[in-house]
Formats: sequence, structure tokens, C-alpha cells
Amino acid sequence: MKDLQVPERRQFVKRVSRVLAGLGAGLLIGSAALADDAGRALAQRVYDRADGEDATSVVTMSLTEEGRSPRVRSMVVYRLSGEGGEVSTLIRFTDPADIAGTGLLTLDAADGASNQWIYLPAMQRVRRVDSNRKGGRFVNSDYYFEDLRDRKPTMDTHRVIGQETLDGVACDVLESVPVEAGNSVYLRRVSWIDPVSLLPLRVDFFEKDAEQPSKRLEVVVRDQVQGYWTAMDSTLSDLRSGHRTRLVVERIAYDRGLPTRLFSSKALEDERGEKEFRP
Amino acid sequence: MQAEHKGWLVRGMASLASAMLLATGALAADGGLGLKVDSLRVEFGGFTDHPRASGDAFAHMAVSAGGGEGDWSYALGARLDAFSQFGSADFTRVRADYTENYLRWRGEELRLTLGTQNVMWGRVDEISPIDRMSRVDLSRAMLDKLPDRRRAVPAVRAEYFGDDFKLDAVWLPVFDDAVMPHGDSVWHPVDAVKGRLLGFGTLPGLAGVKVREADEDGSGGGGLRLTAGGDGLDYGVSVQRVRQSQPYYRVSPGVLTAIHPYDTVIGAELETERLGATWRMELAWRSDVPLTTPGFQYRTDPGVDLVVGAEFFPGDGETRVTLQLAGHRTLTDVSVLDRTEFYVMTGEIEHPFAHGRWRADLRFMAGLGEHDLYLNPRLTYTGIDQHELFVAAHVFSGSEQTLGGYYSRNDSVMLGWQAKF
Repeated sequence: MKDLQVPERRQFVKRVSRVLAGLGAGLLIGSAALADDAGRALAQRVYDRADGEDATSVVTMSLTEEGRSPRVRSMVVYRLSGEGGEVSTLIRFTDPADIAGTGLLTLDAADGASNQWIYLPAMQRVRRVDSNRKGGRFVNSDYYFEDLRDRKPTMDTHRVIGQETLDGVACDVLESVPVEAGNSVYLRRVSWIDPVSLLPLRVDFFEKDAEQPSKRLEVVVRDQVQGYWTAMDSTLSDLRSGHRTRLVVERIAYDRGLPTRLFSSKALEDERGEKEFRP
Repeated sequence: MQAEHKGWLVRGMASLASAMLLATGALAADGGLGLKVDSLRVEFGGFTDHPRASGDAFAHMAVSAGGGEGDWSYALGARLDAFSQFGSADFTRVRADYTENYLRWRGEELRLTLGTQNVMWGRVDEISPIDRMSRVDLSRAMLDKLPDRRRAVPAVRAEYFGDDFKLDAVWLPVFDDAVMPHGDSVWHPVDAVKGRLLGFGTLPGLAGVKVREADEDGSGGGGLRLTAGGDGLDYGVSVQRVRQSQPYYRVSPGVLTAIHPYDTVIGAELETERLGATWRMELAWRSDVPLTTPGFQYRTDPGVDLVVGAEFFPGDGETRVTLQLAGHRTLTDVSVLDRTEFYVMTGEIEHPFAHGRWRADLRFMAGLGEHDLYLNPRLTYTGIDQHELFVAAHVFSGSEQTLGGYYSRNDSVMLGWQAKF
């Protein structure tokens, strides 16, 4: 029912696996055809930040709006990094009941090619879904599909536009502008990077007005788990409507030796088999 | 009108057993058995133009429990459906049925399942020529989407998961036929009052006809399906020798006999992502499409079904569109009363708005080359997790032999609520 009857999207996988399972909003940043070397280097460092061979996290997503009751989704996110930049991700929604059991499997090849499948319990069918969406909201949250996908640094031009203290942390402020306008729904993004954790503590997204941000991501809590910096609690706000999406990592474990068979169509359609790996 | 078929005993016993086990399970919930309400649903509405029905109501509940240990797991489930129709052709019917009740063993690469289970083969929406294993639910005609028009079936199933492929073998040891509407329901494919039969239109001598079930004993058949995927393309082939769940009505003087003939179905399917859309295709060759000659002789001939569908998001936005072009051709050179060639466009436009607290949908089916139309607009409030409140309309029109024509007096407006816990 509801949100996930629409084939929900694969990009979530990567983004969630990074943003939520510890990889932070590093994807929000890119580099490559840089405007300045410092910007490119910073974007690359954020992208390359250590995040383990694999990660398993239990995540809660809360959608809140002034005067309305919050809507809460829970999910388990598995991520396995392969050789040469391959990334496999499996997400299983566990709550509420109308989307519980829904699974998303994403296989990202090293060359950037991506395949994604969804399992809908009501249909008991595994279906291929569109891997190229950028716009559209993921499960009615403030995250666009682009926000959730792996964004290579080469897709943007980067420059460091200053330093600013955020919650007592002296951050590098990084501006990222798409190399090609068509590769993003945003005109530009500005990120406040913590030089220690290399996590963006805040990201402003500019959609239609290059001077006025439309959305803001703020990392409220970050922790080192097994030595890896992880965004444990973050909120993405729609600055016009006030609608907010909060992501909380309830539990996370890195380097558990997740097997490749967990990232298969069998595991996607067999929730019982996948449950054995929940933290 | 329609005699209750023999399957009621099987279903009744299975449902009773499920209910007892579920009750036991609920008591033992602390022991790890998870009891769930899979679906609660109430709909109430009125017909705008039907001569014998002013409105109808529908209530449905499905519950299940599951558990297991190690490589073994099990599921228990049952459902209850209540229908009422108001007007001169009024009735109320409450019916229990089984859902999934199985014992399953899972190995590294093999999964074996014994019991009633959902088996939905195929990839496309609305009309799936390869989906021949499952039990069809025609109790509300096509008012619901495809998954809600399918029910569990008694089966023995073996699924082998290879590195890049899956082999699925299913045997249906006990045949259980489609779930049909009450004989007086406006959704029944036989209109004994007007002498009409869905797919045929009005036939002479059909007014006041009796409907009876043919012998349903025996196996439902079986089949094999091989699917593979990866790198931008998923595909599969299948072969099935199955009895058709949906009845075909054999015509004889004063009597329509609901039969479920065997049919060999050879299918091919693929799914890929191209040009900003996800494409899905199914092709099926059938050995025995049931037919009726103008002299009411029953025969079968081969036939071919093809469905090509696409799913896309215009402007890369919130709106999801699915379109399917479906075609059927019966390979016969004999004059028959059935439609031997037809093409329809089906689809759905779905648009969430207000941060997903509302959703507007339009399902449709439109005949190509022949007037046949079904429209199902629906506005749903989804702002409360696990609940949906909706208002929907069902509009039909078409020529005599078509689905839209047969149900052309069934235009209705419905209010409903559904939930899952």
C-alpha cells in the first residue's frame, strides 16, 4: 500500500547506506572539473572517507509537518563494498505494517552502471525498477532520489568558499555546481564539512534560485562506531513548507563479513533468510 | 443461480483449520509466532444506473501468523469476505477462505514449500498471460488491482536459486477453482435475467438459464519457470500444463456448465530499463483456448497472447504512469461466438501530493478498434500510517461482447477504508 506501491527507488540504497549507515552525505559532494584544487581535493576526501567493507544499520525515518502527526518508517540497510568500487545494497522496510517486508536490492557496478529491483510482498514478485530517477520524493520524504544516489565527485565543479564555525566546529564550506545542468535537479549545493570526520554537518540545496536554498540537511549527532565516523541523527528540511525528514541510526555495525548471497534476488524475496543477518 | 461448487468443503475445512491454528497462535504469540492483520477493508457505494441493484457493500479481513526455527518455517492464514447487494436483486453472503498455510524448508540454494501459497508468475500489470498458477478471484470482477484478484492455491513448490538464475517448479495436486461472485451479483459473468454472458453478449435462450459446475476433482496441473537477470535485462521462459481457474461456460439448452479445461501454456517474458522507462513484456502460446461455435458446440484451438508494458515518471517527477498494450488472437478458422482477436490498452496514472498525504489515481482499460472502456478514478487520503480512506468511481461502456459493454449498467461510486496492522 501507499508509498512503496510505487516502485521506490534504488538511489535510496546508496544514499542511505552512506548517509545513514555511516557514509554521511558525502554523496552530496563531488569534484572533478574543478574550479579550485582545494575544492576538488576536499570533495574527493569526503567521497573516499573510510566506511568499512560492509555495514548493517537499523534506521528510523520520521516525516514531520507542523500540526500533523508524524509518520514513521523503519528499515534495515545492508551495504557491501566490492573490489573496484562495486557497491551492493539491500534495504528491508520493517514498519509500518503496510510497507513492512518491502525490499530494495541495488547493485552498482564499478563503471557506474546500476541495477535495482524491488520486492513487494502484496505481489510476491521481484520487479526491476528505474535506476535513473533524480526527481520525485522517496517514500514521500524530503529526499529526492538524486539525494540518495551515489554522486561521483566528477559530476560537479567544486570550490572552497570559506570557513565557518558550526556548533563549535570550524568547517570548510564547499560549493558544488553540476558540471552538466541535466545531471542534477539542483543548481548548486553548499556543504559545511567537518575536517575531522569528513562528514558534512550541513548541506544547503538550491533548486530554482541559486541564492535561496530550498532544502537544508543538518547532521545533529555524529559518532565514531568501530572507528568509522557515522551520521547518527540528521534532519532534512524543506525550507518553504517546513516539512522535515529525520533519519536516526538506531544501531549500526561495520565489517561483519556480510556474504554476497545476501545481495541476491533470493534474499530480496526471502525475508526470513535475510533476517538472520539483522544486528 | 450458480450452484456452490464442491470446492467449498475444501475451502471451509482449510479456513476453519487456519482459524483454529491462528487462535492457538495468538495465545502462543510470546513463543515467537507473529500474528498479523494483513488486511482490513470496508467499501460501500451506490450504482447510478443499474435496474436491479441500488448499491453494494463489501467487508474483508485477512489475518496470518508465521514462525519457524532453523531451516523450517510455516505460515497460517485465513480471510473472511462479506458482500451485500441492495435493490431488487439483494443478497448477503459471508465467505471464509484460506490464504497461505504452508510448511517451508530453506536450504542454501533450494526452497521447498508444501501447502496453500501465492504463486504469481509473470511480470506485467493487470493482464498477465503467464500468471496461470494462481487462483483467480472474480468476486468483484476487475474492481481491484491484479494482486487483489489472486488467491492462494494448494501447491507443492520447489525453487532452486542458482548464481544468476532461478528455477521454479510448481505442482497443484488439488484443483481449486476461481472465487466467483454470488449468482445474483451484478459482477457475475452470467446475467441469467437478461440472458447475457460476458464475452458473448446476449445469447438466445440464455434468459433464465441454470448454471452448474462440471466435475472439479483431480489435479490442477503444474509447470516450470526459469528466470534469469542482471546487467540491465531480466528474462524468463516457462511451460505450464494447468487447468484454467476462471470458468468457461459451456452452452447447452437451458444450462451453462462451468468448466475448467486443461491448457498448455508456453511463455516468454522480459524486463528491461530503456529510454527512461522500465519495460515489461510477456508472450504466451496456449494450446487450448476454449471456444463455442454458433451451433453451441464446444471446441478448443491454440491462441497467442502478448502484453508489452512500460512504467515511467513524466518529467522525472512524482507522477507514476504504467501502460500496457495487450493483444490476444485465437488461431482458428472456424466461426465461433467468442472474440478471437482483440487489443486493449490498460494502465494507471498515480499522483501523490501534499507530501504523500493524498494520492490521485486513474486506472483504465480501453479497447483498440472496438468500443470497450473502463475508468476507475480514485482519490485516497494516506495521511494516517497504515490506513487509507478513499472515494472511487467505476465507469463502464462498450459494445455488446466487450467487458465495458457487459458491465455498462454497473457505473458506481464507492467510499472505502482499508488498513493493515
